[in-house]
Amino acid sequence: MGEEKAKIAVASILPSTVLWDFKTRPAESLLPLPQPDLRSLLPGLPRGAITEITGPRSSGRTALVHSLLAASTVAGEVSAIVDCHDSFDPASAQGVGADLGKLLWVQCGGRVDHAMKTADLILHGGGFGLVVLDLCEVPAAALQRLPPSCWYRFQRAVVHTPTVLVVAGGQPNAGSCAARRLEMGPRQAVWLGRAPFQLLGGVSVRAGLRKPVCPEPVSLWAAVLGE
Amino acid sequence: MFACLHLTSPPLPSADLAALARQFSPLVEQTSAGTVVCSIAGLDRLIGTPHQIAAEIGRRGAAMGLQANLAIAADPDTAVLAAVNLPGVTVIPPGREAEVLGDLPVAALPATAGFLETLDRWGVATLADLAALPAIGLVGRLGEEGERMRRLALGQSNRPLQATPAPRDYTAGLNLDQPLALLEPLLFAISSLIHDLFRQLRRQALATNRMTLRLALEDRTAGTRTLEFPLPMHEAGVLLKQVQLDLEAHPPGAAVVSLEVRLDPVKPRRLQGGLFCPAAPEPDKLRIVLARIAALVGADRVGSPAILDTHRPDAYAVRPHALEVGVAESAAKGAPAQRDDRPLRLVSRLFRPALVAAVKLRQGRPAWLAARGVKGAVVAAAGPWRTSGDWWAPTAWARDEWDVGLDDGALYRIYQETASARWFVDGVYD
Repeated sequence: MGEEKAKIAVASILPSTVLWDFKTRPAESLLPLPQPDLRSLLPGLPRGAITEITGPRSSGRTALVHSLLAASTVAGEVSAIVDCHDSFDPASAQGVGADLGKLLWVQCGGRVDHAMKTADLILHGGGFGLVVLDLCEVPAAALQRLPPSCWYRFQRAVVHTPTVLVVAGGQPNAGSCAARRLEMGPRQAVWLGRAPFQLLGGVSVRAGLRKPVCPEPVSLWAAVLGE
Repeated sequence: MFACLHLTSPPLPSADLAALARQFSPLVEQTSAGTVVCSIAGLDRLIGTPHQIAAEIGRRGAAMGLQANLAIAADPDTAVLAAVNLPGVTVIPPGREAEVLGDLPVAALPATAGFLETLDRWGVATLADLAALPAIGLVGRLGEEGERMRRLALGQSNRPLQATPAPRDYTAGLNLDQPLALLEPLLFAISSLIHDLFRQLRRQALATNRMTLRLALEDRTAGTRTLEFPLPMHEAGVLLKQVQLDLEAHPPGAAVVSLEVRLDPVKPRRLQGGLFCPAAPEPDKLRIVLARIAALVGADRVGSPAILDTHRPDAYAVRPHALEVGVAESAAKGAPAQRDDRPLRLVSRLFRPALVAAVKLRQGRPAWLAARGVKGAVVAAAGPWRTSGDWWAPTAWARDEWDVGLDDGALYRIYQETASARWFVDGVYD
């Protein structure tokens, strides 16, 4: 039965006041991005889906993750960060405004299997607004050994929930399971003053949306915390 | 019938008096620090006449070392008035309350100073005088309090007891026919005890925030595990899961021959969530998730971070139960703050422990850096910034910090320990 026939069949059953459009989907619930520049690229991170944030070191990927944690916890949500290599800096998170009392921090001591298992437990426990799986310092070889089924499991765990799962890493990992992918970089450090009297001012980054593909990247400025 | 005990020797704690009363009745009201009144209805079939009940109470009180007045009456307030004001043992037969209390001064009544002053001006000196006044006229002049005092004087207050429940010990034990060496059958035995205790707690509208499990082992040793919770727990299944995870992490050293479970009762937390509160993990589910993660990565590696009040770099603590409290507090607060725009800030990722580095210097400034996973020529450097602290403690530190940018575009914070002159990579700006 074609779409038109199905429409006619359903319309004959339902009252005439009911408008029926098979192509209309409910509006996607989003965790808004705190940066107006980034919102021109992506209005927010979809809830109930996986979003990947990738990039090399000093590309601002952790800065973006921290600002998301701050936005989520300040809004009253409970968030979690699964820290694979114990590299999360609570002072930096507090510096960007995160409410540490509403943040669950799990240090996995470099064990990728522990990180994946912990993320799975948190996602299946439910109730978290934002869950960050930080795989930034994990070698690519270790990530490639992960079974792809774990990403499908995460996808199934978060779907139809208000949780945003952010996977931060140096490279894309979740493949087709990720609903969005933000790529940070290349970057350019900005130094204030002249040598030998210099100060690190910040970094200028170009962020691009790789899934769905957006051809126009945006430029971001990330000042050093405290400047 | 009601019996009232009133201490005549103040140093003795009132708890002993309540304990004496509870030997005779479950319905005990502590009217003041040294006075308790209890119902003795039904004791006539167990002990006998009111005089025999009074003798038995007196005998047990003497055995406990208590010196108290005792009064038995059909009305609780009459018993209290008699016990407080009449020495020794007073048994008031029903219908003769006004006669027994009649000689007491009106100052014995629990009335306000203004009320007593009015009675004094009227020339009313005793309870018999007060009882003789006409009820309608008294209410017309002194209001509801006047009528209440008149009924007290007549021994006809007829109020119900405001009984306080006795503190209960929620402990259950089990001696096993066969020693249990496996966890599963042991949990089966613990489960029945926990469910029984939770049923008792629920009957009293209570919850628990602490469980103590005592195990007697086959090798004649004993083991004790204590689980504490930041918020009251009222689900037996959740507690059982916590016990399972704890016993998996800390198994008993030998087969178990007997066990005892004790729950500390507390009032349950009652909270109404707001309509506009964001979703948060359910407290019971969150407890289980945290316990499972703690069993996986270690209890000291899961929780909410807290910044310590020190200038020492990377000084933090992990608070295991802070999140549960934070979730409860956020639910109580109601609607959260509005989201706002915030600029992107370059933050640091730390290497724990710091990476040992090899640094080549040129004119006293870093020119080349190598560490595990970090290598390159330094294209820009800012520093040094000397920091030090805790010189009075074993955790003393002193170091020169640099911000360096490598030729691959990455930005690192490195430092040189002043004492050892060794270089380390502290973290990366990201």
